[in-house]
Amino acid sequence: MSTATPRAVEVVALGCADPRAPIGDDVMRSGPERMALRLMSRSAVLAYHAAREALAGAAWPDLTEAGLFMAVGASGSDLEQLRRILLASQGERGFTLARFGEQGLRVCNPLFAFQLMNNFTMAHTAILTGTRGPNAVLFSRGVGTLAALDEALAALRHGDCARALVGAADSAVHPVTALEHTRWHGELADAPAGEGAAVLALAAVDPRAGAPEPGAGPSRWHIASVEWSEGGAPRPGAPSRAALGIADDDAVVLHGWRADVAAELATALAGRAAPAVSVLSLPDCLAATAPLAWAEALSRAPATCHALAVVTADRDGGVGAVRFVRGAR
Amino acid sequence: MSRRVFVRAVGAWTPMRPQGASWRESLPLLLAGETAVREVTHFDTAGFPSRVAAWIGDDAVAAACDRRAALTTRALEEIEAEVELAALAGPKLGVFLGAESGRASPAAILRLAHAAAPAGTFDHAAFVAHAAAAAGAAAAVAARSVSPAAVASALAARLGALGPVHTVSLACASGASAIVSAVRQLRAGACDAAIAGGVGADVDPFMLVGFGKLGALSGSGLSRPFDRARDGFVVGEGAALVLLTTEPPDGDEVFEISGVGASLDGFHLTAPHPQGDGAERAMRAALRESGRSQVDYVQAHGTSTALNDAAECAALARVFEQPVQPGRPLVSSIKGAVGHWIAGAGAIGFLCAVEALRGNVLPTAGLTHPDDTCPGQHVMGAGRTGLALQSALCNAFAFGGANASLLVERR
Repeated sequence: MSTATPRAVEVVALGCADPRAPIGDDVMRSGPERMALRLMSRSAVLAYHAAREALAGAAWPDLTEAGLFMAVGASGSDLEQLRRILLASQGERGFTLARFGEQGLRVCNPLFAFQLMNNFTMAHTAILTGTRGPNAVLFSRGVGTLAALDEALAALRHGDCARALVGAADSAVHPVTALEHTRWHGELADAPAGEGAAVLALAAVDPRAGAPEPGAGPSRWHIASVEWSEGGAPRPGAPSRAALGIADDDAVVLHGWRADVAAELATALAGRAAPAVSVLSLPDCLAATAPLAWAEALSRAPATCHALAVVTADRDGGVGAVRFVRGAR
Repeated sequence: MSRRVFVRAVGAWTPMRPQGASWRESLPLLLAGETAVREVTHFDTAGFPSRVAAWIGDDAVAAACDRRAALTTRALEEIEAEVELAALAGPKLGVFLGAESGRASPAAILRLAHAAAPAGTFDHAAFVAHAAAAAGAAAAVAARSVSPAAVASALAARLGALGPVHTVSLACASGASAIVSAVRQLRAGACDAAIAGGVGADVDPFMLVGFGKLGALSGSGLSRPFDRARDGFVVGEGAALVLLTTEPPDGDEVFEISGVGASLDGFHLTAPHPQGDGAERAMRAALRESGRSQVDYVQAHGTSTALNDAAECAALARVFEQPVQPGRPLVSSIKGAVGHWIAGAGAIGFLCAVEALRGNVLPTAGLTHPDDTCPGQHVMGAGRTGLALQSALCNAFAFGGANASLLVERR
């Protein structure tokens, strides 16, 4: 599917919880975050780290109307706590619901529930940062995260908000998630499982509005298009270069763990005027993989690069591309 | 100028009959003020904080691998009986569904837990090494039914929908937020038609324990939104869907979603902002989009919890402080009748808003003595029929502070 973005949307800042430099909880053990930490899933912690960094870069004075659009995976709860609940629920005849209700409850921290709900990956960030505008939490296993970006763009274009955070956080190393993927897909030697988050701070560029965002100018990246195709029937396989909206003169960055798709796209891209194709080697962070690739590509792009397509693929066969251009071209 | 979005058809599967009921079948019962809340008998609730729910005893639903998908299919069938959906299949049909994670069986989770802790404490390496074998094939089947996205994907496959497929997981605001997403994408041209809505299938041991432990469930076992005796919500289950199109439908009943609004409280994980600040901003955003300052009817979120109902009514009082017509807007909440569907709540609420424009305003079942903290033109007892209403607002607010409002008008 695709949506054009006639009203320019620019990337003001970005923030990451980089899977190659794992973040410990210790950085949150002071200030208001300290109380929140015990309620947060790992994904929620990662999301907040990334959002905090993006907001520091954006330096927006007021977040009351700012949007927050996140893609999330299955929020990973503390399995030790779950184990305690279940073990307490076993009697001589094994697990029973009656014992679950009576004994299991006694060892259950009621706040445990907040690690289980998918939207709390976003909710903690909203509360801790004071972001209070339009929002969405979309479930994603990879390329579906582009739908969250598309939602943010739609809200910015329509004027629901002038500024928005968009990104994802996920942990592929949570035990249950890791198990699930091992069972379904086998080990992927070229794609180690990881955890991370990345958040872009976006602003609508409206010529009728007043002063531009601080630092705005021709060097700032704008989002030109978002194209993706999710995996699985009845959807088609990897889309062509044209379907992904990649122009002849774009520099292309592939997130490279999905070798078969990368090879297919490399062949499709071989005849382009601009030969630059880079392959990133990031751990697979499921929902967070795509925004991590965007952030990495934007951070690394040289000043001479004016158009950039970041192509990501996921384990379900989904493929998507986000095209960034310098200035409002 | 963005495109307009119309309601073409609605469908639901509700607990208003023990074996489940379509929206059409549910209406007379809802108008009579009946409630679907009853004792849970399909699993042992001894020792649970709450032993009642508005649940569906449909054998086919019970036998399904994924209860959420089974409920959603029932709701879709009501739309399919009215509209030839095959004609809409293709890249311009989208699916937007509010859904949370499904549930693996306690037995499957227990096997995983044992694999996680062979030596008494959780061991990540041991878990990964042993859990696959320990869990067995049954757990794998369960895992597939746990993903929030599984329901929307199955729906898209059934419909041949090749447009956007979004799974919105915003807890109690999921269903309404999914409709917000659909409206955004229809306006933007990503699709010309969309199936949107939500499903809740949370009448299970984990949710009854979880919400009960939080103190959110009614100790009296009654859902009484806005009542002075309200003491928490009752879990319900069901699915509600709408078919939205950018082309207005033929006939006399033309309903347009003219405004949507979404906001975040950014305040607290469970408690709403005490003055309903986020709720007010969501409602005002929907009103602003539609160009209205008033509506005839509000299908409130109305959970029957002390804090939510008071905060929502405070926000309503500010937003509609100067009614153009005395006695407006009428206010009611479906949760007194069908319980709280969590991810499906906003969707079934939206169907109530549409129904109000058809002249049928449903009452708040269980409400007999409105609380002083919940002022408003409450519809109590039986519903009201034959009304000529032009506009209706639907609210949905979530744990975590996400708010969504949908404004629908008769054209």
